[in-house]
Amino acid sequence: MIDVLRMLNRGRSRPERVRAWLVMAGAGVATFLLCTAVSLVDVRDDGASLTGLGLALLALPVAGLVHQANRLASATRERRLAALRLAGATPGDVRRLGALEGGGLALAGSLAGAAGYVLTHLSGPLPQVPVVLLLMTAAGAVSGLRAGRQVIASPLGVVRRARVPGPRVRDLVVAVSGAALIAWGAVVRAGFPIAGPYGMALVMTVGMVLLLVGVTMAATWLIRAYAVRAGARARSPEALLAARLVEANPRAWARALSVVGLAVFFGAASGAQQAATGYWQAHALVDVALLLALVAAAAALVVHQAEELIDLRRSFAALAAAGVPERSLGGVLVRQAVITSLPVCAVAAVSGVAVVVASAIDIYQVGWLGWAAGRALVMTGVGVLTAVLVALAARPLLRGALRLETLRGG
Amino acid sequence: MLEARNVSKTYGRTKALAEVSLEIAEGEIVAVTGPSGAGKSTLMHCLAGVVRPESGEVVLDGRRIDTLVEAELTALRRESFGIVFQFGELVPELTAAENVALPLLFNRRDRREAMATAAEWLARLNVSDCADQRIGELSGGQRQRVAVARALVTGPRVVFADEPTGSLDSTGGEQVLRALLDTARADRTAVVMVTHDNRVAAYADREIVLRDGAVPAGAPR
Repeated sequence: MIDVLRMLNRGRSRPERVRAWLVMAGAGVATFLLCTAVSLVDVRDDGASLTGLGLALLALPVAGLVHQANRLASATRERRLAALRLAGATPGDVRRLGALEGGGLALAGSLAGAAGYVLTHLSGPLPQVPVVLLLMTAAGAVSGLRAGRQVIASPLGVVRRARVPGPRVRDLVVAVSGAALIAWGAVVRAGFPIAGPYGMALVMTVGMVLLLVGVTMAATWLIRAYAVRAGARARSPEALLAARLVEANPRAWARALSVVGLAVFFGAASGAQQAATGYWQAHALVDVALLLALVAAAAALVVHQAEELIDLRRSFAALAAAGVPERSLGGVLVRQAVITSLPVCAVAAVSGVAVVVASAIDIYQVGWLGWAAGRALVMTGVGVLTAVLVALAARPLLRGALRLETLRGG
Repeated sequence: MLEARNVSKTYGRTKALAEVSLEIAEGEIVAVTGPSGAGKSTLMHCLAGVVRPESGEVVLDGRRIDTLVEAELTALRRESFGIVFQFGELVPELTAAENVALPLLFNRRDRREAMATAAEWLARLNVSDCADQRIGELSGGQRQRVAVARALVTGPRVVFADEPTGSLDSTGGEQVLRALLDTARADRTAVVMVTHDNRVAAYADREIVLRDGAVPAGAPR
């Protein structure tokens, strides 16, 4: 299997090489950030812990970008999968190759990131390094395994699954469970049997993780519901087209926006906590981390936009040939960005504020709530603006998709 | 009405069209035939204003269209031309009715009015029952009928059809062709069909044969 992978790597196309570098760079940065974050966590020092948390949070969007980058150059990869099947590979072999490739790239990047950490923290704690390396490699393998799951490779060719899976009830269950745990922790507070206040911290943490994962997963529901509503109310063809395109595949948008949602969630939560507890310097560091997270989120969105334009190129080229201006099709991309990012960012911001307010309700004052709400509003705007700017920046990709050659040769 | 005067076009080193001249009258059905690589699709694209010729002129109602700026050309294609592609090239995420209404919506017509007009056209082409279905749920023949309805819905002067029955079996292809040509004749819409199928060409009023990017001497024109 390794030999096959080595042979395939020798024949990598340019987009595949870009993907490989992106995955390795992302894995390296995430490893460095996670190692540094763990070294900063100190139970006796809230400020240092908060900085560590900020760095750990920054690693999340970077990891999201790595997963998104694994989907780049999918057309080349799909042709390769079909060729492998023709050469006698089983579907399992193809999946294993994906996992090996993803894991290998993540390991290479993580080793570089870990080396960077060790060199800059020679006197600092090092036990977390192998753990982080292992985690990043496993994450890369899982990402590589899942990147091709929308594709059915047979010896006769490759087809994308016609039916993209829609929202699932379990996504909602996870989010609701998280919210319920947070509410439970807020109500019982220090009254947990045996564990006391530590019980509350545990319940709240588990609740926050579940809420975060659930909200990210349930974004598919949100996006589809909002798209259906936007489609019914659409007055312009751009809005109608944008809403229907989103409605047909909300999961891809939810995946791409999960990184933006995470940044908005933590941005809003950080603002709410800042209002309640202070720690201005540590929060400023978290804000810088969030800004960088938004850049990573924008990169993930660019990857998604490129992937979507490849899927849409024949329809869009036909519309352009029939007289639809490029400006209008650019407008479709911008409206898609608004339709998808607005509900995701709004819910992420409200959830972020709600988690902090629930855990610190006793010290909250009305004035702080106003500050927290304002921060949530700003973070929603920043998230939507990021998505819109990416859509505007995708104009050259759109122009490429509208070329007439797209329509030739069936 | 639509005229090509000494139109030439080259792709890289390949001469796709070499000084082709022809004229298409109002309501005329013209088939452009020839072997693969003869320049049929390039000629159609030049006539439809999708591709600019390197030399020569394309004239619609006495007005040169090959010199128009891109925005004017785009508007002209939207208002005066309709295009039917071999594989329909409809938007799969929209319903059949929404696909047909789309050109009207881009012409800034009211949505309710556009949907009503789309429903009329689907009825004319005998695919009313597909109105609310998405494209993926339709048969090949139904898709091409929807594509024909989309091309005709704006009341164009000319419909360009690139192998309109190429993806269908002979019965389905004949039905789609009849639907296109009967509707075009009834509305006095000119049709330029690119095809390599002689049975399809037989439906046309006139056949133009292309070979190596030119109309050979003595060939129908």
